Amino acid sequence: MSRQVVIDPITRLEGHGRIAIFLDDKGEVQRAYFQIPELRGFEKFLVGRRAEDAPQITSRICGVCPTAHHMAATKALDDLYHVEPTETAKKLREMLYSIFMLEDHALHLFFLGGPDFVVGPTAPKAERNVLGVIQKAGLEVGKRVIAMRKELRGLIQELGGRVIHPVFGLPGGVAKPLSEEARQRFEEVARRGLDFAVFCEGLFEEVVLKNKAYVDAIVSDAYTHRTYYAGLVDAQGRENFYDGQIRVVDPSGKEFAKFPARDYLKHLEEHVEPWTYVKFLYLKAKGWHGFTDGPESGIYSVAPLARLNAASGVATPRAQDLYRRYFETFGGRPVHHTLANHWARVIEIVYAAERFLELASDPAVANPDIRRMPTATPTEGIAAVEAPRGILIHHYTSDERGILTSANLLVATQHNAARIAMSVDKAARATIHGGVVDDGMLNQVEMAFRAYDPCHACATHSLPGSAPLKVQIFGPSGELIRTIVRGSGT
Amino acid sequence: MTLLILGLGNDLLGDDAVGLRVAERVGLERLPGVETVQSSAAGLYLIDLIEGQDDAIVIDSLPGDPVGSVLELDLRKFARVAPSAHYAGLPEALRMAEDAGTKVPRRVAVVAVTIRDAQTVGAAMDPAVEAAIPKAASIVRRIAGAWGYAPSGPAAEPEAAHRRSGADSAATRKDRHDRAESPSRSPARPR
Repeated sequence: MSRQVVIDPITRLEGHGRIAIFLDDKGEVQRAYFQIPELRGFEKFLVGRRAEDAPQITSRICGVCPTAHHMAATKALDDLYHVEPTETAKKLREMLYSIFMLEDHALHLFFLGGPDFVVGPTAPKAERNVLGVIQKAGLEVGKRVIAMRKELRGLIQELGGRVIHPVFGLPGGVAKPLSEEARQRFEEVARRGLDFAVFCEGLFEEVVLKNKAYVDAIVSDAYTHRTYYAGLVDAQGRENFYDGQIRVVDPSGKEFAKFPARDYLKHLEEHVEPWTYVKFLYLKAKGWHGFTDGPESGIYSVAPLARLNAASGVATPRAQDLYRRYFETFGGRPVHHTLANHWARVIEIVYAAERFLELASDPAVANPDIRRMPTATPTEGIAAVEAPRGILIHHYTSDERGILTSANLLVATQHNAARIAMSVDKAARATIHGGVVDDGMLNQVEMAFRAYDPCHACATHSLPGSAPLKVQIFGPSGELIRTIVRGSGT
Repeated sequence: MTLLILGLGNDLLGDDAVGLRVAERVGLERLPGVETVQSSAAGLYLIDLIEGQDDAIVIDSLPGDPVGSVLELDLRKFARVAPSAHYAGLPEALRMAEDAGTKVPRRVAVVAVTIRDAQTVGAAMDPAVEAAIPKAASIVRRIAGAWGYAPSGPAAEPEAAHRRSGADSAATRKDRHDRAESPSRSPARPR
């Protein structure tokens, strides 16, 4: 008898994935699928609208990372209008972006990924939450995280006008200058931000890295894939969130390709599977060979683990030390362990904080020359940023009036989709045996995709908001035998 | 004492904009202690909005029949713990903020409007959903009044005026700074 186990979070808030696990006669996993119900239509919606509205419209795609879409669209507009932003504008944009990365990664570390690591992957569900984190790490931790994020989001609001749909980026620059008074305040917050980042680093080290059981979980085969990795790097090959070329390294860590976002179509292709709407991106030069890893497969990965693998270093001193130690610990670059994403995220928290402080301390960010007015006729614009969850590419074409004629948005989760699918399949095979599926096992399967922090264009908010995970078990002819609902909504 | 009136939704997704539109219409912004926020934030990002407030009224959409019904929901009846933090919604955001030792609203009312479709980008709002906006707004006002946030003077915007404004969105937008109903018109909401 074969049966099907479906993990189906029906929320449209965050998460929004669905895992279907097929078991064979003996109750072993035949195949596990990760499905993402995509919110489609944004690209079509953009056609016929003014290009300069794209940063506002696309920031509504996702209630989680609007700043990333806003920034990718803004940079694509620079390209569309053939205008180079002023140095001040570039610095202000990167500063805003560093603040965003810092607060977003902090949220994931403590509230989303943290519970698995700090409390432990098989801990009882009731403890696997932020309360569990606090019990281990001290009562003041939670307050500190919330207060710090609030302060950082306040700065994003000050720069961007509104936190959720920032009104900040314009082709050739930004909308609002930063006064010297404000710069000094930003610098003060940046110092606290760096203290906070160092605190995150210390906590991760104390609670996770000093615990052999967790380190064993990180390096276990169930969470390991030898794929290609891609990330934005600066002119020196160092990791950069805001700008740079896309560098791809092979499973042995050698550079495989380096190209500007403008050339993405030459290097990346999409594969379609019948069981999901997601288009799986892969490296064109290697081709699609199914869900398999290794140097012959074109599957690659993005997000923190991939970014550190693709970069030859990090541009700030403390994060660079951590980068070095991270690879020493794992025995060299690249690291293939999916769960190492959490450690990589901590390193990026430190990098984001250091970069924020560098930029906020630079008196030039308070210069008044925040925009170079576009004068050329708009044609085509392509740009990439590193969203917290990986490379985000926006590609637009317009008519001579700047009315959009096409839009193509490649989001992080698409780059990662093939590897996530493999991770879920592998974790399910490693943890579920003899037809026994319990809560701890399902959590270990979920951990396989949670490490990527996947974001599924989930822009809507309908209640209940909380998502029951539905586990459905089907008989050989597809009849529903049993339904288990975990954490029911209403 | 502070009250957050939080309208949630996405203004590009048809029916899903209803929470935003209700918040826009409520018109309690000028009352002392009341902050009206329209937001597309999701999941745990809601912590940033609700943290530090004494009370909160959240307006959101809810897929269900019949479309255009207005429901008052008890947040405590929602699941308190999602299976993993990654699927967090408002109940989890509240719980996590509370667990993290920060101040969360002691009273949280949820006003939901049932909707048909919240997945089509650029869709128009269903007329039945649009028509429910005045009713939802007046329920929000009633709750705010019962909690002691409404002005003590006579009602500046009786419910009948809303009915007359009907589903005309231009008309409803004009109402945004109308005064709230008098608490004397609002039965106390049991807790």
